[in-house]
Amino acid sequence: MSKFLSSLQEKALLGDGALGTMLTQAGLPPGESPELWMLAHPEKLKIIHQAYLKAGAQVIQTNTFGANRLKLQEYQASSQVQAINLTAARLVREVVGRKAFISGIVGPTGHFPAPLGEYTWGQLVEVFREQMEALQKGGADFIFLETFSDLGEVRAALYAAKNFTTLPVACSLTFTQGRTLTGTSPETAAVVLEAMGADLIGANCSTGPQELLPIIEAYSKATNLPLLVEPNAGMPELIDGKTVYRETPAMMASFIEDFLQLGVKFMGACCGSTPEHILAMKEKLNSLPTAKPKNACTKKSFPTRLASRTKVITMGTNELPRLIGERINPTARKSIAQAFRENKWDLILQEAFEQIEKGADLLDLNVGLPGSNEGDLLPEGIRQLQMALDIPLVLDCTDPIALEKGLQEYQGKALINSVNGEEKSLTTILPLAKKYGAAVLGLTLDEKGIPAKAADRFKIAEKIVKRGLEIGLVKEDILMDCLVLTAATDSTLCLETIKTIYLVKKHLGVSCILGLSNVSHGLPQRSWLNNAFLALALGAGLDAAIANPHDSRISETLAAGALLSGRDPGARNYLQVAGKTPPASTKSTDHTNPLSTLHTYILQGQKEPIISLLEELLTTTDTDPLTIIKQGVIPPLEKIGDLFAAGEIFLPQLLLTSEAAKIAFSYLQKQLPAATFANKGTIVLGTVKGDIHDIGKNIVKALLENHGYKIIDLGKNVPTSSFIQTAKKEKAQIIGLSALMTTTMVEMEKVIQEVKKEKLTVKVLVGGAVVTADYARQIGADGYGKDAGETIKVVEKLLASD
Amino acid sequence: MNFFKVPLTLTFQEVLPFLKMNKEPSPQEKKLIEHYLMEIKQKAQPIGVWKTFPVKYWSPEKISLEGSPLLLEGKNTAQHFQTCEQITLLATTLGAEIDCLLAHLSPRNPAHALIADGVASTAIESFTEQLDCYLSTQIRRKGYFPTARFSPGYGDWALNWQKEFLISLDSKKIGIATTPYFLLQPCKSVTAALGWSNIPLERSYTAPSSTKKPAKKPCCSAHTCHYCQLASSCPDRFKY
Repeated sequence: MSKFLSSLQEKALLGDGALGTMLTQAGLPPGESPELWMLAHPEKLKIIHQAYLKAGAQVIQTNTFGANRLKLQEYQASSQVQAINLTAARLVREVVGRKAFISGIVGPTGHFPAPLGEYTWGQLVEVFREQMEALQKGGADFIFLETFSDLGEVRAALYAAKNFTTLPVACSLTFTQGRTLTGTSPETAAVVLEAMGADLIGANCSTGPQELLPIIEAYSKATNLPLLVEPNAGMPELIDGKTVYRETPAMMASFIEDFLQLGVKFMGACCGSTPEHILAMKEKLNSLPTAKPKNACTKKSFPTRLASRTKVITMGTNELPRLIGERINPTARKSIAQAFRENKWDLILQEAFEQIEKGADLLDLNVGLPGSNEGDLLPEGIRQLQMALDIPLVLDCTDPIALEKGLQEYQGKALINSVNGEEKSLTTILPLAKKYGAAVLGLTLDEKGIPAKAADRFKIAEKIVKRGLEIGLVKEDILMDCLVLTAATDSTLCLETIKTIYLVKKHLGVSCILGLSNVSHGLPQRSWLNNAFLALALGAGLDAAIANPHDSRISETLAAGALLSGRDPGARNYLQVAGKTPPASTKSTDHTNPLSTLHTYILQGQKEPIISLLEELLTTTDTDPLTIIKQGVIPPLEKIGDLFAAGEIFLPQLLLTSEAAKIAFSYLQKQLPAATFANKGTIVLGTVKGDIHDIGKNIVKALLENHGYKIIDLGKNVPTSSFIQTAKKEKAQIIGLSALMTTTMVEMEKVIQEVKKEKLTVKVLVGGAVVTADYARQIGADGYGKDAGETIKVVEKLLASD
Repeated sequence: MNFFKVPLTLTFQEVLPFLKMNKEPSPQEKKLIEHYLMEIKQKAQPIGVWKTFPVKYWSPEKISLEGSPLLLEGKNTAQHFQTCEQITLLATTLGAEIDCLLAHLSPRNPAHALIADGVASTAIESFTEQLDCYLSTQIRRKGYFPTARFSPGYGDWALNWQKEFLISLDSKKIGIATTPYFLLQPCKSVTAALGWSNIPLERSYTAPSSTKKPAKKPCCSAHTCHYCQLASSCPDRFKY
């Protein structure tokens, strides 16, 4: 173990503070590259390093945050990567000798890996490699990746550090409101970076220490790695025209104890900090007793964890059994095969989304298409899917070359599906899992095929686990598929699979997954077999099934099986899946009283069952349509209006309710003589000239129609003359004008002036996002609708005053 | 000229304020929100562009920029950027497919349109915020202090400047245009200016406290919500 890492184990180390702040004070002109400036002013850098060393820093950083080829390109200096990094590391060494460690700082390139940015994974790795090799040569004790905001980019940097230097690597991301710029949480970062081999992880920059506490806490819950933190120096003040970070040194120091308790082993400061901060932190550190932090003593254990760029999914004996969607597989599905062949990724995405909507926790991605190159399709598929999906992918591929390309692209922690007991598979696939921080699924088969008996399958599983552990994988990252053969060929073999699951779970303790659908191949009613077999496997300890999420029974069996096998304490998941988590407010429908059921349907906006309920009411109870309208439709409509006015419900619910009421109303109206309902009034509606947004206008239209008004909708971007002509022709009582922007609301006044000029009796009602009551009065409108709900009332008032 | 592409990181909870839902929505509403969250994440092609211009000339009424036809005009506006040496102009959009979705839903199903519109508004705001955070970090690293975002249509900066704004960014490249009435197209697009102040500004820092206060928007403090470009979606709109 490196001296730096062993020092960390003994006690927490103190880093230095911001370089940027100090460089500006030392005379770095605005807009100039700090790295190039260093070459011209090495003595200034030494003064800064010396100041931090004197303040008590035990780790001093190199001035190389932007010393990569892509950043230096902005200053036409990309040829100086070597020189800058070597010089920077040597300058620190000249100052600190052996009194402090040197952190070789590597910052982001400013470019994300494709598809977000224009550089490939391989190009980024080369950029980082060049810088890191120079830092190591210059004498850095570890590589410090800091201020990264994209998991994909930091993963490329970490890969370069692990593979092209022999130094330990610290990874630090920057967070805003709990996520990195591209959406990664601390938990996800911990899972992915730990699997990739980071030695130290944490957060820097972002915000002050207070905001970083919950971030570090989240890290702490998700990893056993030592943590690092470098907060900004908080709030600056302006005193006598100078920027001062008063009080903050003490404030920074006041958080040290909290951070230590969470397992932080390396602490420094970022933007805005100075040697004063480091001094205050040093004094605080020295004043603390050397007792070990509470959390650090107990090593946390974790289940199997897989991750997308943004989300972690757990798997294991104490977790809910998971559903892995199997449908992105061209072998059995022509439409998928064609989509791959024609690069129709939107169809593949659609397929992915549908599976997620049906409850898939992970997605299997199989691109094995005869005549196509998996080595091209797998990475492309990953690029397409991983940006749009937040659930982890299972890479269904056994070609090591294609897998390696795919794993480079995947920014989370994937599951490789699969390795098996064959020597060739073990030696090619397992190292990939280690190198790229993935988990791996083992199949219990080898050169001789799938053994019939459970005991022989177990032996293969044992071998795969042993070999995985030998190359440095942890047990949680090795999973097993005990393989099921179709019941159509030999149904006696099915139970051997169940027995193997039991043995593997009991004696090897690794997570078990099953490719389920094979069991029913060639038989009718496949869902019966799949679900029965799933239930048996859950009983034996299965942790996840690769299955078809569109078979709704699968989710049901998983939920029921989870409950029955003791994985669902309090039946919380079961109740949720069963749809029985009743929010106190929704009352169940009362079938003994169809009118109150109608109320419920209308209030909840459930359109589908309304017609059959009305038919039932009309035929079996012989209630007349007018009574149903008066007692069944109007009361909930009035009630919802009141609830909306009182702020109890929101506009979408009001719309859903009134749509449901309209369906009931039009159906009943047809049962009555045509003249029963008089037209309540005619309204010409439109958005004014220049305005192309009409959602608000359409909402008002729907509500008015549902209240029985006749609406002539002129649409959007309507010229003044159309409003006038239509109002005349239709003998409308009201013109309703909508405008969203300040630039278009002036058109309203033109319509009003025209109405006056033509001496029409029609009233003008105005509304829209930017329109105020004042403005309505000012332009001489007859009414102003603040929102859709109020507009209904204003219309009633305007017509009543006629 | 720099391009910005990151995935949307939108959550259910973030959408509620944009739909003016200050408490639990109904089960039907929830279902619709979940559905459109997914559909909009799928259909949106969020992209941003930005460019930084040195300030050429400052007066209490207007600011002009080196190499741009844009004027940051108006007393509020000039005051907002008073201490800035440079100004970064940025534009973001969710792309035209979202317009198609909204145009399809609007006449057919207002309830769906309302929810989809709310989700899309949240998406463009959140995406713009992501870009803002990214740029702010860079501005701080270079020793300056970022101002809050300010857009044509905020305060007294007339919407009419959208055209010059877009020209300055050559935003045709990411498909943003303006109508003759200065409405941005696609409709879920944002333009904003971010100043590089050489002295600290109160609003440019998240104060170190655990209670999160939402960042104050300049339009809110100026009490001119009704003229704000975001008026229909601003969560603070009805507070004043």
